[in-house]
Amino acid sequence: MIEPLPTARVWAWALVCFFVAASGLRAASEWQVPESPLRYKLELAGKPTHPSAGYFARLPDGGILPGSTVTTVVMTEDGKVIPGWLLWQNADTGFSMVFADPGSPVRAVYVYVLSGRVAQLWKPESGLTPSAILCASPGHDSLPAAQALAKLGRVEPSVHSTNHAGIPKAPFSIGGDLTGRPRPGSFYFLTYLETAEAGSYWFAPMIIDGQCEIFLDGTKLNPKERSKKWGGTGTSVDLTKGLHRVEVFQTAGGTGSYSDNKKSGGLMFLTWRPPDEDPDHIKGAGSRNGAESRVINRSEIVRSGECKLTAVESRNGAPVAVATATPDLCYWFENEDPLILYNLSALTAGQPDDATYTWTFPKEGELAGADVQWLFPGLRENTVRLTVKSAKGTSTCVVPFFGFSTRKTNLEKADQREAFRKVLAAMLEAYPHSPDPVANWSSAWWNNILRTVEGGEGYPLLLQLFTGHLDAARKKLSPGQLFALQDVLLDQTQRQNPGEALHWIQKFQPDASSASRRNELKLREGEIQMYDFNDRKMAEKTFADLAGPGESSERAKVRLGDLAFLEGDLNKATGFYADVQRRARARRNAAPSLAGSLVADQLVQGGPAQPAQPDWRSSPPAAQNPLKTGGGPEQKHGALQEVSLSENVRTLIADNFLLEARQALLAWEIEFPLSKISGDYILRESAFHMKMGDWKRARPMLEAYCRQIDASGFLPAAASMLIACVEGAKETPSPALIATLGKVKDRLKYHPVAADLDRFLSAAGKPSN
Amino acid sequence: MKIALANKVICSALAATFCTGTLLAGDGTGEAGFVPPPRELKKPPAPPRVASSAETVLACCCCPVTPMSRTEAKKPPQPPVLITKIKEEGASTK
Repeated sequence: MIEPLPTARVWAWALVCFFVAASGLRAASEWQVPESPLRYKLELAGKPTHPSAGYFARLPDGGILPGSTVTTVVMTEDGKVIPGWLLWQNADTGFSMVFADPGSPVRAVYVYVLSGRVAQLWKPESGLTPSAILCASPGHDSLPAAQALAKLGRVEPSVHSTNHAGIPKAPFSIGGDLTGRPRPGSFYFLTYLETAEAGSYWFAPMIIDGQCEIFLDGTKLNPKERSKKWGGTGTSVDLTKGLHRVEVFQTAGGTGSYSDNKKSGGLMFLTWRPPDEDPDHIKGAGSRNGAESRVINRSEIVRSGECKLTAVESRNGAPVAVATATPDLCYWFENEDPLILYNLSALTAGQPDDATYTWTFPKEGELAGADVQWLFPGLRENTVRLTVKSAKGTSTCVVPFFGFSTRKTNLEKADQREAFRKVLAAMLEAYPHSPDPVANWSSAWWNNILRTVEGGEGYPLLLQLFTGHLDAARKKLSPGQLFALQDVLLDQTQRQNPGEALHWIQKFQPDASSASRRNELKLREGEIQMYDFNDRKMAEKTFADLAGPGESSERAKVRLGDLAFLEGDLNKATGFYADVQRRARARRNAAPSLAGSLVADQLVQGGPAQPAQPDWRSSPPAAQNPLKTGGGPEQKHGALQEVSLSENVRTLIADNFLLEARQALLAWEIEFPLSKISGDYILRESAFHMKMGDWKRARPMLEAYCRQIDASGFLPAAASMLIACVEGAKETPSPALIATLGKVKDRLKYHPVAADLDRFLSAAGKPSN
Repeated sequence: MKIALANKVICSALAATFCTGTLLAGDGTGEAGFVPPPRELKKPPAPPRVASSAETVLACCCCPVTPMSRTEAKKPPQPPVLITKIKEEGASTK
């Protein structure tokens, strides 16, 4: 397996060492190897189990290294040369190497890169015993491919290595490709085992899948069945006390994930029985009938130390682009493409002070900053390019990686929903206008927007989506999905900038293919005129224009009632509300129940995210259905339903289901509009707006309620909420408001809320009597 | 005293009469149209296995390669848990 060490290479390496030593000891801040254009600084993070195991390091390239080969010189900060050897290298991902343990006082080393030299590959004769290094070559299912990895040196870009012995249950094992790449694959596992004493060792490899060859100190093991017991197929080898090299060549055929094999999971693990252990008393035997061997303990496996890359510097002070892509949250549902949030970090240590960092995503734009986030499709190869610029030059590197994350993600957590929205908003801002990458989004992108969008949240995302990518949204979303997202944007725009909301309504008009949608937008326009611009005449005209059959007309009548309520005409308001409620009562028995599932679920399934609506065409006119006015089962039923609606809205708001609460409020309003006067509708509606931080929208109806309702069980709560609205909006109370609250206080002077009213009125400048 | 004793005797005699009648007439299992009750109540079918969407592709705790997990979906709103005490009208409050 291992090539003999060429004499020329030994001499070349000796010359390099001599030159470096002759250059004298220099301080760490100085460039210790003058002919090296670039150096990595490594922090020694984890000590090796044995001094000879040295340290294993993986160092990035991606375009920053000169030439196609890598030769390195490892030095401590005080100038001591440390022997080091290359393991695998390619110009895309970088190289891995092993170097000797510099001793306990040393906490960091420099790895200088030399160009134009022959790479010094690790050999067993080098004296170092790197272990346990698993090298994987995805895409190949053959022993020759695995054996090629043992030759070290240049490899394909997809080849990757890591210091990983196994898992706690099988400390010496190959489970599969740890980067998440699917089958097929070939593996080379370079390890050393420590034997506590000389003697005959029984080795019993357990091959679960694929082909496997194991070499012990360069000699192939040929297992034969000795008994039917667990571990009974193996071979005995006489070993001396000390470290022994074990090399495993493993293949994995087929396709798909390595974790698809439910019965086992994994490719192979190695078991043994040391000479001093009795087969009848082997610890951890895997069978009730006794065993011939046991799994190799973690303490018996030699492991090299770990390093952490802390800086990359160039000799001339020019910037060097080095980046890491760390997987984070994973948004993966059903048969959709997984979308993985990656944290992209540029290595800033050692870079010029004026360095700027730009990330380029193929065909998807650019982001600036040393640390950014981006969503990548999972289970496929991805790349990102980092460019670092300063007055001293420009450096670029390409980071290739396979989209894979083991981070558990739960959309029950608000921060994990917000993370998706936030990153996607930044991506949309970075996207080029033409060609629009959104046009090529799979359903996973759209569905995750629908799943994570919330009432009162996601404004930056929806603003970006509808500003620059409206055409793509129109093509990819169903009308129900499009309208739902438009409504969420309008809700928030109305709160922040009502004028802009009117502009958006005009922009959304062409999408309103049905009369009901057009009326909804018209209603919203009237609400903005009523609540935000206080233009009640215009609002009245807008609502009055929505006459005719259908829900929009009924809702317009409710809004006319609201207008009358705001203007202080309680009788007129009651007239509108009673008219609507009478017809609703006639229809009630035919009305379907309220939707019980999440708005997001309805949208993802392509259903309408609208409140359940009765068939208005078949609803009998109110005049033909005189309603009973006396108390009876119908009234009891209505009262129960009203309480149920109120309680439903309350719990939905408390649990942050704001889109669902909005639906429930709309359904409640059209069924029992009189609840605005005689019930707690206004309290619930205000709580909904306050939960979204929309104090301005919650206040007018509360103020009207406190002004016009002389006495009710809900008045104290309405007064408290009105105070909260004024304080939340940080507004100066108007004289009219002070007068209203003063009268409420007079009516509730013996109620606990009077103390709050006193405090508020005193602060507002009105004497509290 | 005598009346109480007489009531007891009468009740016992009536009960014995009814039981004797039942024993002599049989329990009716042999009559036409009698459908015997099932000996063992048939258990309802097991509910379908509820698999969380966050379960990994492989339900194997010893898998050496950690698989990528599906995302846990947001759950729909749940009704509040109601706890109430039902008191029968006229029942003792002790």
